[in-house]
Amino acid sequence: MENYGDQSFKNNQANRLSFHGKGSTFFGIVVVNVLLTLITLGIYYPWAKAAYRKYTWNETEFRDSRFVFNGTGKEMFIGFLIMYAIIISFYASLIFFATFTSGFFVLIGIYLLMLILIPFAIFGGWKYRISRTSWRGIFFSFDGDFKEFLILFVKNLLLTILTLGIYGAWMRVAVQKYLISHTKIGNLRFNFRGTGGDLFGINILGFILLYPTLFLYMPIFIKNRFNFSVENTYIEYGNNRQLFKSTLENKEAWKTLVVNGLLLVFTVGLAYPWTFMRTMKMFMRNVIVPDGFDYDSLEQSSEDYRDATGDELTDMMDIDFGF
Amino acid sequence: MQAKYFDGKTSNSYLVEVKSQMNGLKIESTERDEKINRFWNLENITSESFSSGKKVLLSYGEFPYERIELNGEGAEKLLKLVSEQESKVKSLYHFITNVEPIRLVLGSSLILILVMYSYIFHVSPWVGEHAVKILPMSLETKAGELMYDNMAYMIDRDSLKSELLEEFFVECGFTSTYDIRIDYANDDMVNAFAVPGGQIVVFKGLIQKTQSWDELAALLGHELAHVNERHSFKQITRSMSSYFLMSVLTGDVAGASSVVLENAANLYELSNSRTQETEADVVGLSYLKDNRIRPRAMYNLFERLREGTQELEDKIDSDIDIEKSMEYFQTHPATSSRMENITNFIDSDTTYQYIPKTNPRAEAIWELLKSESLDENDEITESVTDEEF
Repeated sequence: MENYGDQSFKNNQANRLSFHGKGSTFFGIVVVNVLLTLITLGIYYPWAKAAYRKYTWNETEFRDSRFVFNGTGKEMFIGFLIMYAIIISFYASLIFFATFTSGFFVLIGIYLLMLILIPFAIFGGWKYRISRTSWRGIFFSFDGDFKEFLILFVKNLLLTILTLGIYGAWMRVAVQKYLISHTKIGNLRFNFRGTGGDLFGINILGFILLYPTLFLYMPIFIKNRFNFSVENTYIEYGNNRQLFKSTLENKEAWKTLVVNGLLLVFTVGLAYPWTFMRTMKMFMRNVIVPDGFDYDSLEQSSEDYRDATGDELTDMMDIDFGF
Repeated sequence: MQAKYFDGKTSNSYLVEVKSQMNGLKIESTERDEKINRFWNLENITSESFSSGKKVLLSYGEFPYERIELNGEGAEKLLKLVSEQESKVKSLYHFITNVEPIRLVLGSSLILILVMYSYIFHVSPWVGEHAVKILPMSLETKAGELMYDNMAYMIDRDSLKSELLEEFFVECGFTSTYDIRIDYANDDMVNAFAVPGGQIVVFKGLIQKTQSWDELAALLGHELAHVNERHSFKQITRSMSSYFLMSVLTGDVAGASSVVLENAANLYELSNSRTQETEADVVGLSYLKDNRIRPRAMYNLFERLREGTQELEDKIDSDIDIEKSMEYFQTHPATSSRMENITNFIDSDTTYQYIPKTNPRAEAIWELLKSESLDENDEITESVTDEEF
């Protein structure tokens, strides 16, 4: 039996994350972003994205220090160009092949491309976001190997297809575990111990209850997913393993998310900056980072990483890291 | 002022005193045993904070960066100093994040509404208008053929009368750079339409309504104007550019807000097709003038159309089908105001005060078109030539 430490979280307010974002400020950023994106016919988009992230990261606090998103619009714009170059050249070669082979092989080519692009997007997107995040000047880092991840992804995908999607929960956990277990800040490593079975249980419950309750169960479902992710994540250093803790409860989730839903409906979406900030606040303020590590002496151990190709791809494919 | 300093090597924070000097910041530790004594050159300092100015984060040099974190009133001054030498865009964000909330929301909503308005009603139509010029004519013809093929099964085409219509078109003296094909559809609908690339469809119902040959000429002039002015394509490129606006916005803002925009764009489409109709009326009139056909025939044509819709309305009233009457209301915008426009246009332009030419050949064809049944045996061409003599 592995030991994840035993500590009381009750008097541990110091290790709680907090979120200070304000809807009105975020609204201002949205306006500036939208205007500049329009004026530049969309070219500004990567810079806009950098601004959103800088703001949300910046308003998240741990132990009196804010997180920083170090990525820039320029980096992401370059990532965007590279990604387009890759996709266009691949399609060009497909069209070229299509002139002398049958459509069947072209179709296989497209599937193969997707099979590589989706894990590439997940892997690259995560790596970029993690590597560009810092706290007190110490950068997070990601030391996963793409080949390894690709094999894991394809294996899990095949199992999911074979089981008609049932294995999906296990696949998600496998991907999550891979990404989190290769994430570090300084010399501390993160890890994940959740199981596909647990997630499957949460999903089944959601599947059964969402429709009969006319989606009023949704906040509880989101809370369960959130707590599953947080409470199964731990930090390890040598033999010392300590779990994260979430204090998010049904009542708070329900209240926050239902009010958000109503706000969005009654303002035809204009309240989005406020609801987004409310949601962030709800999530962040309920996370308790494990005690038992010396957060004042984390050592810088990563290198500068600026490749945003995968990140642009996650955006384009609309992949969302729910964890 | 007091600040926390991070050296980029560990997460340990050092309490420091920050003094702003001529061209940089002097950073010294307040505790004697930790010897921090740094000078930051102003031009290598970047501001990292986007938060509401309460907590300011400054970064220095290359990776791994040194950083200081400070708050309070002095912090804002320092942020101002640093952001002055940074890009304009960045200081725009700093400015925005420090404005009073109510002013910010009201002010930026106003700007946003103005920009959206001008985008939907000015930029997007302009783009649509000009983008269409780049598109080759062959593409338009192809697209038109495709559209026509898709609806051909719904049209009960009378090939004999279609040929007559095309002959009528030539007799009127109309010309086009497009290859004009005209269909006569055996349908009681009082309607006609044009497909991009040169296909025009006229329904029997409308031809039956016409009371003189030049009304039919006016109708063809109107439809020809749609073709020559590439109206359908303009509409497509315009809606594409408003689609672009929506995708830009929905890419990062909540999807719900796009609902508003979409409706605004639809509203625009509606008013847009109205302006296109007006344009087709005016251009159609100029075709009539070029061929010395009575301009008031355009006005009469709308009288017939109005009669046609009146009948339709009566039918609908008896059915008490609200939904249908609404639909009718939206797709037939104010025929009477169009008639008024035509009258004003003709009256105000002296070049329309000409004596119309008679055209017995066209008139003869029109009469044939109106006759209920046309036998294969009828010698069309002969009867026409007979009239001529």
